[in-house]
Amino acid sequence: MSKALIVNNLVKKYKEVEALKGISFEVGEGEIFGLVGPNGAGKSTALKIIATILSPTSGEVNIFGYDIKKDAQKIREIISYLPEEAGAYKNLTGIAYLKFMAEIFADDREKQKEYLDFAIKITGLGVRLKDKIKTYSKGMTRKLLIARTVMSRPKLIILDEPTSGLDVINAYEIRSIIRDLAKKGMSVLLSSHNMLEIEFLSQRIGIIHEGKIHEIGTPEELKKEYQANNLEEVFIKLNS
Amino acid sequence: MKKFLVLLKKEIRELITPQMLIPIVVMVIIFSVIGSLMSKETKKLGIPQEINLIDQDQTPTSKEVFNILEASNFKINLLKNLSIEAATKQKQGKEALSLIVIPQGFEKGINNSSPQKIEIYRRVQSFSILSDVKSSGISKIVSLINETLSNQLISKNSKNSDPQFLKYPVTSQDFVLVGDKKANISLDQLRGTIQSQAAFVPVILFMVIIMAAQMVASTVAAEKENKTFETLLSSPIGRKTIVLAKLVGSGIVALLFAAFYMIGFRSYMQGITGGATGQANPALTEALNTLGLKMGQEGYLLLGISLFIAILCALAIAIILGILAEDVKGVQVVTTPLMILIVIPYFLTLFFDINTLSPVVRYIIYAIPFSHPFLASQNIMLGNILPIILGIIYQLIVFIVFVVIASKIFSSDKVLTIRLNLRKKKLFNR
Repeated sequence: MSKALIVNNLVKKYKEVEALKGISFEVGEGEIFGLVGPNGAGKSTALKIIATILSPTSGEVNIFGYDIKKDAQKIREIISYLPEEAGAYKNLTGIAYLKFMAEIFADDREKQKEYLDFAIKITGLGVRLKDKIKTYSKGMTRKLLIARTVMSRPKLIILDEPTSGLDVINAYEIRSIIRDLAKKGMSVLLSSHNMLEIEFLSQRIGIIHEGKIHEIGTPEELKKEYQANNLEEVFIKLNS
Repeated sequence: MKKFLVLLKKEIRELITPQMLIPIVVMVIIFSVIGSLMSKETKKLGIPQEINLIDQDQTPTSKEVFNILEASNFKINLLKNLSIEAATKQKQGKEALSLIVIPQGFEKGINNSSPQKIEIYRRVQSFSILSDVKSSGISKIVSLINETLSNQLISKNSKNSDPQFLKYPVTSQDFVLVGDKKANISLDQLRGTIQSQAAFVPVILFMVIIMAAQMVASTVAAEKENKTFETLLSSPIGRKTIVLAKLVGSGIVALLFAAFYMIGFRSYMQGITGGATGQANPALTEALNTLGLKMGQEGYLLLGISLFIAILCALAIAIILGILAEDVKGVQVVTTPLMILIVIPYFLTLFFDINTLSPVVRYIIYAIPFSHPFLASQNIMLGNILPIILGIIYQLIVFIVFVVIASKIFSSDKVLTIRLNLRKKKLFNR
């Protein structure tokens, strides 16, 4: 499997606090890689660096051959990032927001229309897309944002807590969307503190805690190694 | 360029919302209504004012007082066979009661060179400005009576002399000099006209700059609050394009709202002045032309450029301050230093002649980029073009410096870490 993302010895310091202490992992093309860990483990910081929003203190990040420090603008054209608890422009309608994002990712009108049609299909919001986003429920907004994230069919999708705060039905629908997209060849880097969600979605998992990656493997490998029934037990055994 | 326009469109759509438009439209309507009310009330001041008069003297001199009042645009109700107490209890239509009593022995006293007192009663109905204007008309009654009666007394006692000359042997002829130009007019009259014509300029400048600054800082803070900023920063748009779209979008909307304010303020001012600003006195117009105290097309252009660059400076500084705000509510706090910088030149130029201030204060004022449009409106009138051009160059330099700083912040971690720093303890203690 060729590599979509290579993270090597990544360090991030905020003055005296070291949020990432030299993490390394790889994501293959078409793979869903889950970064799992408790709140404050460094997941979001790692994702923000990979999404070119923060710069690393040291270490390397390579996305489809592009270096994060030298080719940030190129990387932004082939990735898409959904931040934790992200919002949308409340005074725009759902359709206007998707149109705006399509215009950001594509210059020619045909491509914009293609992106927009794809996003409309994914949201499943129908006529509600004509309403202002401020009238949407949390689940509707999240679906809109997932659609925005994948509309340009990026090579690497970075999802930070994609189902955080959602009810069971909405969370299930969003997990299904992510799975379908990976089947179509998109690479996904997923972060969550919900171990069951990660186990359900990811082919491989990295367990991160206090800025360090403690284990990497498939869910089956990790459960076997730690003689656990699920990833939650793996995580608890790893920390004890 | 395409992406800039896409972002610009989004910024404008986000800023122009019904919640934003309704208060502005309501404000314009309120200003127009107040203006029209003021106009009606001002016109009422020209209508002859009603006065009740009790003449206890019944002599030619007391009748002369009656004539003086009538000639001075007062409508006199002569009350006969009525005591003062009963007269003060009388109703006088909608107007507040005004009663003048000429005492018995008034003429005799004057003829015997004994100073006389007339009694003036006024019932208070309110302490408003317009009621005060009406009262001042009545206050002038004694001067009017004195003027006429003293002329008569002088004529009677010194038959070969002109009473006007005896009372005012010296008068003045006023000239105003501007550069090498001279006009025959009083400085007070000229100052009053210039101030009434230019009164709205600093008010509009002040409002536009403050509004633009708050708008751009709010757009940045709203991106943070609604968590749309990270999406935008990870999108394939240059950071400079993001900064520029926010600056231009907020600038356009601020100018649009300023136009609304200007319409409202103009209606209000026209109401106060009763539309008199358009009907200038010919002598005054001639004096203004002679002295070159007119804001021609070039003047308006220079003032416009100075104002536009001041807005850009405010926007560039405010966008940096907006990054510091945690959310939209925090914008008020972080933009306070900027507001102070705008308020200082506004009030100083309104009340002082900058040239007479100490050099230190003067240079501090020049160093504030927002001082220059306030100073420009006065300099244009006086034909001092060089300070305006130097001011514009200085403002441009300040703008470029702050745009570079803003772009650098947007291109670095700081755009997020300022917030991360504030939340750091919380983040890592979880």
